[in-house]
Amino acid sequence: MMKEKLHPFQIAVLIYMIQSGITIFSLPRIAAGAFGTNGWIGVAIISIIPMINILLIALVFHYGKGRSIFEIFEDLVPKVLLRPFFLCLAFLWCMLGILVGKNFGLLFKMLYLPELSPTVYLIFTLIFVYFLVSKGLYQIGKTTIIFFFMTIWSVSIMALYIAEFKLDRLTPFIFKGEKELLTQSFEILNAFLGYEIIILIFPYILKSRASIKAMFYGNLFTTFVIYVPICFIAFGVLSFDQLKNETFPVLTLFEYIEFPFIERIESLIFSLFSLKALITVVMFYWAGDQVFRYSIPQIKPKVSIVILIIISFGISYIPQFLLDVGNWLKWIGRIEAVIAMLLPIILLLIIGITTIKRKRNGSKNGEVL
Amino acid sequence: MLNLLKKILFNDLQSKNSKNKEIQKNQKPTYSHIEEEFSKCADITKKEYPQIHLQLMYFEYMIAKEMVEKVLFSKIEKLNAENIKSFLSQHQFQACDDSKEAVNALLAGNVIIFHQDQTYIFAAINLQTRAIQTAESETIITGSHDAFNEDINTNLSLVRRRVKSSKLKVLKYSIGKITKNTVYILYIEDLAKPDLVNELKNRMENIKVDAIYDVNMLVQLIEEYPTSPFPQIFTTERPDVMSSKLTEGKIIGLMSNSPYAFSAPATFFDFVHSPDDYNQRWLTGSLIRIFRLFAFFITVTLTALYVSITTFHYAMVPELLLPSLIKSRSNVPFPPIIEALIMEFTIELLREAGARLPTKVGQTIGIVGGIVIGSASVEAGITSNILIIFVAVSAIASFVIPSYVMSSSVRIIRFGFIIMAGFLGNLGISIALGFLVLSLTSLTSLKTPYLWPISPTQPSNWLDTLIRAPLASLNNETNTSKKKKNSNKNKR
Repeated sequence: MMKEKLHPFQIAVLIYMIQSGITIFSLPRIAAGAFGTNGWIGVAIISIIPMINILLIALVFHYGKGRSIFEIFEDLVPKVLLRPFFLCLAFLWCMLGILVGKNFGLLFKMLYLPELSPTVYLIFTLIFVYFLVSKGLYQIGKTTIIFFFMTIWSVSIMALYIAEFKLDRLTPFIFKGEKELLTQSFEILNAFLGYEIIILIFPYILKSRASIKAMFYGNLFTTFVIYVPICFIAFGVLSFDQLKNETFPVLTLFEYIEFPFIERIESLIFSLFSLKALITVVMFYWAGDQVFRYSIPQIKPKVSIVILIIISFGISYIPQFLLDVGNWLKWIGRIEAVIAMLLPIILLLIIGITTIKRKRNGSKNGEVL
Repeated sequence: MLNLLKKILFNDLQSKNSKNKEIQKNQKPTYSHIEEEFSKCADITKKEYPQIHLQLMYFEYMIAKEMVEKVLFSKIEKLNAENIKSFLSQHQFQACDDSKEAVNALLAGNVIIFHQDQTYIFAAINLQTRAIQTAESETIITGSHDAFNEDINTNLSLVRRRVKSSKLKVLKYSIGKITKNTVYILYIEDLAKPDLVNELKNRMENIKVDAIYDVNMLVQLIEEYPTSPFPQIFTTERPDVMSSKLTEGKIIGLMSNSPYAFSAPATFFDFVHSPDDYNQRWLTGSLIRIFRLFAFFITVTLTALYVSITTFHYAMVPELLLPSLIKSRSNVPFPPIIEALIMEFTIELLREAGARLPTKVGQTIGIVGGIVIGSASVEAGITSNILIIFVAVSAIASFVIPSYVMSSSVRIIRFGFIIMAGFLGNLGISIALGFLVLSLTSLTSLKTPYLWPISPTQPSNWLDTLIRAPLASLNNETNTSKKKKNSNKNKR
């Protein structure tokens, strides 16, 4: 039976859903911290990095002729070396997944529900992870689309701020004021991370130009429909100092929205964003599961995800507080950013070397013949 | 040991005996065989004409008495040994060489005639059926009002008179070892996907049950996920809906003694659409469709939202509304989750009682329930009046969904939402929504994704899913005509 392939629209939505998570609520503060005044322009500038990264991934897809990264690696690197490497990657991705989940749980507890036990939230998340990962990427794709429609409308609420928006607040100065460009930029980059997982979805997508375009559209959507407009509105509604002092400026914005029957809808929107966080967690686990099964091929598909869930769940108990989880996420995020950049470069090098080798072998054989 | 051996042997012998007694296929039917098969059946009528060696067997209440009297009995009485053979050679007497066939014909309401070693079937079926009436569970305002009834032939004619095409193919099955219900599977050749037709054929052939009484039971035997709370095969009592499903390339099924028909593959949106959407102006139809989708979300989340807000997120209540909410809640001794569960449970009891009782008594239940739920429970301090508004709106919203089966499923899952909201507030509602989406996206109906065309995404089909676009812009051409057009283009 033919495997069901992901539709380009699903690819674009999947990239957007993995990329954008709860960082969106603090992004204007980070942008203000990193770039100073009019930091929203900086977000657009930083988005060039994932764009280049996706370009590299697209090149791997193109020159690798849609083969999986495992097959490309095997052309040059022996399996004995590959397996431990992918095993480490599996744990890294699963840790990233569970930490994103735990971070959300702890944040929700801090902001809206002091009674919430992050463990309970994590258990629900992991049940979800088990069902989705064990059913495969196509199922994840189908679920993601619905989550996308269920959450995307909330961004449009920001349009209610057009009346409050004042160009004066943006100031005529660009990138002025106190700033920590390097460290904070890394945090902005972290807001874009997640897209690198698409390097594993090659076998599940059609080898077409539309699939490659969809990868770019996903990132462009995150940048120019979500991140930049939200930051732009936040910079034009809240003052620069307010932006720098608010932990979650976007939530603060939502707090001011009042409807006749309901107000303070930020808790509702933040709750809905748990679905986005869920997809990020699921995709990191899916990626972890893929490489884990490559490292230990004897393992049964449904058993592998259970093992990964148990191990990562155990480790997730080490960081207890939000600050610890934040620190872990920061460091693992940095490692992930490096991997995201290096992985396609290494793969392109391997493709290059093997192509040259093949050509040489071909010409040698030709000489002999 | 010896006893055990005897027991085994005895059982074996018994089963062997029973096997011997059972009428085998291709066995030549004889009067004694059939008589033995229907022994202890007091309702069977046997007639004998010894002078011409003729025996008849039939169920009196299943045959067209007047016709049989006129065409058969009166003529038999005039027969003698010489002309009996030429009489039985007439076309209305169908010779039968198979005992099983004879038994089935007898059970269907035919007269079985035995003459010497020959058996004939005389078609005389006249089953009493209900007249074609209006649909009771799926009423519409505009459009045709006729509905299927329990007679499968009438139902077939209701479809055939709407789809006048030789491409409409009909397959026949007999389902139920004891009940032997006739099931017709209908599809339009060239429109229905052959692999789906084959898949449904396989599933029909693999049904192994003793008894089945309704299409709504049958579909549960051919669904992919029988444990899911959601129906995966669409059932309706409306022939116009079934005809439109046929022209959409779907496969439909009719069953004897059931006023319902099924169509497969079905998507979630089939259950929230109504023929009224097409009969009204496109704008009205589209808005109603959007309302129904809203109604679905209101049904599952509204009461849960009340529980969540009053338990954890009081800040979400506007200042002007807060005093009245607190006032109405102050007399209630239960936490919101218990209060909401009690009310929802009562509403469900009322609905169930109203549905089962005769109309006149049903009205009384409505009044009693209205008083109990409406004012008495508030005055007694069991619930808050704001919750009553939430529960009532949520119940009304559930009835907006045209399919009764789907509406019932939705009402059940909202209990899960209330419980999650009671423990985890808004986050609980989101988690429950997540699981709802997971269960919906996991479903397939005859290999077709349940949430198609939203997920997997096919925006070109949204015009007839989320909204009801003007009919001219909808794809009204059949695939066959499209194919022809394309092939003409290629030729050019």
